[in-house]
Amino acid sequence: MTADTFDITFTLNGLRKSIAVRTDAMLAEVLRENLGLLGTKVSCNEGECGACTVLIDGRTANSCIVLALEVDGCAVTTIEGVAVGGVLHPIQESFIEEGAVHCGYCTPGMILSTKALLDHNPDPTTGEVRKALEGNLCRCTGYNRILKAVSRAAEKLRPTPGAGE
Amino acid sequence: MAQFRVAAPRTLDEAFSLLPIQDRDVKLVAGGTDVLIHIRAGKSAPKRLVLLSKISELDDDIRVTDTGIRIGALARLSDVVRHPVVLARFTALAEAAAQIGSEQIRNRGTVCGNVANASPAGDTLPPLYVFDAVVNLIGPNGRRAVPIAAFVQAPGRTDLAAGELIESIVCPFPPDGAGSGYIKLARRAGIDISTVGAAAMVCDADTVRLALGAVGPTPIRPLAAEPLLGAGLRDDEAFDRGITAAAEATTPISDIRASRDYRLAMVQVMAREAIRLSQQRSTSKDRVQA
Ligand SMILES: Cc1cc2nc3c(=O)[nH]c(=O)nc-3n(C[C@H](O)[C@H](O)[C@H](O)COP(=O)(O)OP(=O)(O)OC[C@H]3O[C@@H](n4cnc5c(N)ncnc54)[C@H](O)[C@@H]3O)c2cc1C
Ligand code: FES
Ligand code: FES
Repeated sequence: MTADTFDITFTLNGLRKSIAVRTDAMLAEVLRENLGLLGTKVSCNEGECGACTVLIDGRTANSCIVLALEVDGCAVTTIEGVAVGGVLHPIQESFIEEGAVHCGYCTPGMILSTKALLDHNPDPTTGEVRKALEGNLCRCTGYNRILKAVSRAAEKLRPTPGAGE
Repeated sequence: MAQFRVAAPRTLDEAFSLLPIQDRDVKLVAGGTDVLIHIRAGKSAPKRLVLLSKISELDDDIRVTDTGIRIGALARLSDVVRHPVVLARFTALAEAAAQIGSEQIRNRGTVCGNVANASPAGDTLPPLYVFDAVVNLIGPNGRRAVPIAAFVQAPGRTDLAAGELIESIVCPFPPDGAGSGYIKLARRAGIDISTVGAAAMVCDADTVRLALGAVGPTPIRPLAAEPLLGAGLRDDEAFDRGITAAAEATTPISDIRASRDYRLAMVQVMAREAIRLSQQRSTSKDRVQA
């Protein structure tokens, strides 16, 4: 029960994973060091910057302050799970097209926060976008390009009137 | 060697058997957004963490009952922010939760964790004081219910006895037509913790409730000032006296976020704004006629 390691089973980017984790290990550390998924960044390591953002059951979380064993039974999406079959997700395309990526350290977190937002709210106001990204800090590009990338992504993801349905 | 060990009990009985003899050694974890940060910052060094998330008797529901709402131990801040009944009837609570940390923090952090943490700047506390919330505790010796103002005792200290935990928090419905609001002053919108926080509720033409955060060791409900503030809804001079009386009930300190004098000045501004906002939101017929 309180052994030093703990077996967890969870869905990681759509695939079932079982792994033994140290009970005091954070999710970010397990993703990067045990599972080799280096897309998740760690910067402040204290819940402030959002570089380590992942989705747990569709909601954003700072993986640097979530115990790995808390995701037992959950579905986790990291940046590696956003592009499908080698094809970039429209949010990723939009970040590139708007020049919203410089050093790229904040980008995985920005993209996952954007995904969580647009999955629930396909047509957010600028205020809603700012609120959804308030936990993601960028030191490089300036936030305007990121805001533009998010609205471009929202446009791409919205069904065009007349098409479908 | 692990820094600490973690237990994930499946039942309350199992949890009680793991709970403290000495509370420094064992820490409960809900969302972990305070506990894990405190450990990392060296503010606490528990030997064992006990997770609440897998305990079958605890829930993350926000339930609407005949008399009010019940917020389960594991209910997240982001669920409170979006809950339609909280938004409509307990607006100040939704508004306070919405201003905690970031979306990531609100998706993990819980209301009950914010309360148990008992920070003078805890943002959900002033609204819970205004709504006369009651904290339901459960322990190996049974249950008890404690009013929020008696539960929070000092920075980081609560009425929780060794082995007890918060099962839920309930808020009775405010009177029909009541309006409420929460205003937070911080150096930076979001993420930052409050320099001063003010929650108010206004109903009828003469009833005001007010609670002030980060201006004393615990949130302060200036009960003596509330009748003046109520009368002040229709009498500017009484309102000013009420605001002065409310500020006199506070005991702010100087710290890295602000000086005592700044807080004393700002608490008056914040209290005024919170009451005005609540009044605008209240739909009392009396007020409209007045
Ligand atoms: C970047 C960042 C920004 C933040 N910003 C704010 C802010 O603006 N305003 C604010 O108020 N807070 C803020 N916080 C603090 C924190 O997120 C909140 O206090 C949150 O509500 C805590 O909930 P939790 O479930 O994560 O608590 P935990 O960390 O799990 O627990 C907090 C405390 O409560 C105890 N506890 C938890 N649940 C129970 C229970 N059911 N019964 C008994 N004891 C229990 C724990 O043992 C611990 O002592 C911030 C934190 C971070 C990391
Ligand atoms: S690294 Fe996790 S929030 Fe900054
Ligand atoms: S691109 Fe460098 S931190 Fe955002």
